[in-house]
Amino acid sequence: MVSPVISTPARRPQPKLTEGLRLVDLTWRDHLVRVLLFSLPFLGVALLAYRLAFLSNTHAHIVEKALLAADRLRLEVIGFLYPPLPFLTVLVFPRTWMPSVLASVAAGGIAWLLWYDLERTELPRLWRMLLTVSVVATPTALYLATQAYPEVLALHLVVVAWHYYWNFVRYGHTFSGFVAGLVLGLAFYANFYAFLYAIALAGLVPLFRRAANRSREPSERWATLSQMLVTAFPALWAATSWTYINWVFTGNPFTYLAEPATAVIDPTRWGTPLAERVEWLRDFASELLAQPLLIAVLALNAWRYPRRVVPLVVLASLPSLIRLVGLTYSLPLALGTYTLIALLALPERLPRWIAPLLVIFAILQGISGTTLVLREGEVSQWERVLTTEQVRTSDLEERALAVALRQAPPRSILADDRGAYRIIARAESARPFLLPADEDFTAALASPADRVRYVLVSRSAPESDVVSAQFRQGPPAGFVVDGSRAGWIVYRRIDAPSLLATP
Amino acid sequence: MFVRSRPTSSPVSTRRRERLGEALVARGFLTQQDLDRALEYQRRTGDRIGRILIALGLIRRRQLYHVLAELWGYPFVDLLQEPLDSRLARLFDPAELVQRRCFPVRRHGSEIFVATAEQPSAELEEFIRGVLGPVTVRPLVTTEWDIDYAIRTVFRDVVLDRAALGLYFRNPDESARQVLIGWQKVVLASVILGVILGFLFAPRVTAVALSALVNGTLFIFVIFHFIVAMAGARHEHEQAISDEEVKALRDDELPTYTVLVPVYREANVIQHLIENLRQLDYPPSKLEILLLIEEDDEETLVAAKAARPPETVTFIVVPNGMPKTKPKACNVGLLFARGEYLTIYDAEDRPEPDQLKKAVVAFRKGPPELVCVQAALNYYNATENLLTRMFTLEYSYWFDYVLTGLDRLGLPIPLGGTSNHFRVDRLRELGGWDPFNVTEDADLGIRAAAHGYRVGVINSTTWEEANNHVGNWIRQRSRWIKGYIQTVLVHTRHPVQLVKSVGLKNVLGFILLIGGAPFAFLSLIPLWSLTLIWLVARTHVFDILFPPFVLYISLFNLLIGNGVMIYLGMLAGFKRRRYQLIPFALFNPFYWLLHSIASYKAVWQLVTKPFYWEKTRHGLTRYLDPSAPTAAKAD
Repeated sequence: MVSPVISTPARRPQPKLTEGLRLVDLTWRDHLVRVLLFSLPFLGVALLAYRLAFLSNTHAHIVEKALLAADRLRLEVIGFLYPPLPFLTVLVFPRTWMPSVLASVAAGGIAWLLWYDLERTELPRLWRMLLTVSVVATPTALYLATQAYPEVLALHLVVVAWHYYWNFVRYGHTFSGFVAGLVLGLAFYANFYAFLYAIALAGLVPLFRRAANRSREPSERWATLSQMLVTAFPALWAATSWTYINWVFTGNPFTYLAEPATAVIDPTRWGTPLAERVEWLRDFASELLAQPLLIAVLALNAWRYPRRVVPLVVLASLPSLIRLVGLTYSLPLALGTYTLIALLALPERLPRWIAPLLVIFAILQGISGTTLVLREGEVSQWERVLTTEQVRTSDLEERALAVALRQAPPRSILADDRGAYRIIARAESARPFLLPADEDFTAALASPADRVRYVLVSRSAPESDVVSAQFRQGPPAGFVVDGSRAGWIVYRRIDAPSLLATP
Repeated sequence: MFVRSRPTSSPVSTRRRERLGEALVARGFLTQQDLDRALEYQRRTGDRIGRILIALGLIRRRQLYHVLAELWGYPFVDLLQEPLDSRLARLFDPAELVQRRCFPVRRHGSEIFVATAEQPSAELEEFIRGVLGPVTVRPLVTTEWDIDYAIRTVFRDVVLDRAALGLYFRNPDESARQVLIGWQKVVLASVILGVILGFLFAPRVTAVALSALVNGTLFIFVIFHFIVAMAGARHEHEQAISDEEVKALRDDELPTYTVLVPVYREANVIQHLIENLRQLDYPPSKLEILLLIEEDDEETLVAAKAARPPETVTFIVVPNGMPKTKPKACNVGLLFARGEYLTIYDAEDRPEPDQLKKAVVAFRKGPPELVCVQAALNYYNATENLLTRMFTLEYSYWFDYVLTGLDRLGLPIPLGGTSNHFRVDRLRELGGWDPFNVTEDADLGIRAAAHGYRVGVINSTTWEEANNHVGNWIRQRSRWIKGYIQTVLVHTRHPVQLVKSVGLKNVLGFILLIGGAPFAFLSLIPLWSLTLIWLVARTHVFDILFPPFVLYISLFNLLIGNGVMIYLGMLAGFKRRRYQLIPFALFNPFYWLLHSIASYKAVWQLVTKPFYWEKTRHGLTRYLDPSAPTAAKAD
């Protein structure tokens, strides 16, 4: 409803200051339509992978927790899973395809924002289109977009925040500053590294701000400090709040940093002595130098806006610094980050002749990235499944096992979701299972015959899977082997009907 | 007696009509230079020369009216000396006498002697005959001050009655004279009884229900504030009135503007007040400043006279009587107001000079239902100490973002304590201020909305003195919170009717804004105490209060809600570029504790002395002198 007085508002003088504002000219409906349109290609890839029964560990973990919470109707049963945002969004309808669909939409949002952002370069539309396609149609981007929901969600939020952050530090647009801060705060609940990016962006405010003539004046210093505070506060508050919740409900404030499937701390790197970590720097440097588009963009900025080079280099170095500290930062995510920084850092109003060069660099970066990621286990498996359109045997067996287990009565299968989460996710129901989150799990573990009819173990499950650890050598008293599929063994109580027997 | 130079039965009709200016110069009251200056001013403003001469201080009022009496051919009368026939005068409505600038002095058989500050006309005679029947009207000339004095003297009880009880008699349900009406008392008693019985027979369920209610309401309150503040932030750069629009105003198109300044025990700030009002950029001849002084406040009256205010300032003595509140004084002022628009300033206020003109532009631009525009309030002593910093942040957040957000969302706007600019005719229609409501401003804003009127905001600031003393702050804040509770109780007396007249959205907005604040502050100490006890003792005694869903909401309120409100507090410093204040938003939780203390005092007073006006002491700041560098300028 329009204000009775400011229905015909007079704009402040100095219109030039607001000309470069990003995103504020679009309504949320405009955004949504475009996000959905740009999501379509990713949705196609996601559904193909689903049809081929591929399920990433990350997605399995999220779906399993969502199924557990949906069945038990308590959020505490999930042990305050981190990051919670992907889980909460999947909770709406927990199915194995749901994270992929949501990831596709998040990726579509990123693609749309990249396309929107490229307009300011004033490059011809065809070249902008080629550039966008070059960066999103790579195995790295497609994997992130369809199989790494927490990471792509966080990326999406950081990209959104970046636009508003830019409005805030360059043009003093207050509303944008607060939106950026809030989005960065929200992004913490999608992935831990978003918190680090929020701190980095806050720290880089003095370098990104317009060089004011009175930069030494106290008011300018206070303005800078205020912008830093506004940028960082929500992320800091979100992290502190989550740490507090972890402490309240688990006794350990930093439980979430070591969450098995989406760990913030890389157990291998974390334990490495500092002296040995120096060697990693060479790998990180090689990785960065294998990003021709990013290097080209940094060079462009050095030519047009030299002040921006240092902060951009800091942002581009973050994936390396994060891994140097011993935290997790997957390779696909690192490559995706480099590409995004490259595109978002493109200067305004570029000469036309640069366009073909940028496309070539983007393609080279895509090839280089593909070579790197296809060494990774899950990414290469995903790529093989999609390119050969052949379902993996393990996926078929997992699905069959899950379908069979789903028929079991409620709370009749003793299992530990720290190892069995994939099976539970494929079962698309947590009801048949008695899990560590349940009150009588400990009693059932001590005396399974009194509480459950079946026990699910795996010889290759991690040690944290206490059921497998306890019973992987043989069935508990009163149980016999019912069958094995996909590396999992099902024990059944002697008097219980078989779940796996072929009719 | 009033007999002067010529018989009253022979008005001048045959001699040459001397012009007023010429007459004044001829009689030595004015120099030709002064007259030329006044005439030049008249060409610009189109106002009457007499009014101009008084406003510019070129002549005393009495001198002018003596000459006018001569020119009009009627005797002059000094109503301060003249015995007044009260019985005759009380046959008339005092409001009409004020507007017509006349006063019936005495009767001699069928002749009625009427003092008037306007040139006698047939209209005057018609008016007198309309009340008294066929009489002979004998005009006398006097000043409007004399007329106002006579009205205040003769109609003292009527003035007091109307000011104190006018709204109540007009519509009791719109007055806070009764704290609760019938069904409200029944509901309150039922709720209290229900809670007691609930704790006796089903303690767990009752405790959970209360916990759910409190936490659920706080959740909605936070979300609401967030939406409103961000709506305000989104339009931060929009200016309701531009400087060009103000400059385009011609003096001759400006109407008379009344400024009410209620003062009580403010002798120490009167001099500064007069000085601040002199800065107003408005044709003095069209400015009517009414200084409302309580009858028993001799000290302020003496100080006001000693300050030698300009002729545009009129002293209105407010008859002593209960309730002794600012809104009652303003109602007295409203009776004597002759302007087309009206505003209120407090004694320590420093309005921006062009504020009145911006209000005029706003009314001209706005729709017919626009009844009031609110200017922003802020503090000139922001950096005096921690309390003033927090107070300034709060005010900046409220006026620069919340009110703007409410305006954009089309929700009712609660008025601020001062710098509300009204259309006088509509204000009278609404019944003026409620003297029993200690936040009469918030009440009036909501009452206006309930009657289908709109309140807007203008981009002008009045600089005030922030409380720099905790005790004084708590007194002031407890009054505001008490007033907010009064306002909610009054305007929810007929909820169905209210929803029908303003819509559900506006009703919910009003309840969340005005009722949500006291609710939130009253809840704060108990909830934080529970958290603190749990943190220290790690007891599970309170677990029963927080079943899963309630637990999630209360955790959200504790962690996200508080974080959001602290964050919104940071918004406050940006519009005015008061960046040094922004980090102090982190201290908001401590500031809220003060609010919570004040809220309990408010509830106690609502029960024990609902109409008691906690007077805020002013003039405590070291930045009182406008000529000294202020904290505002030093920011």
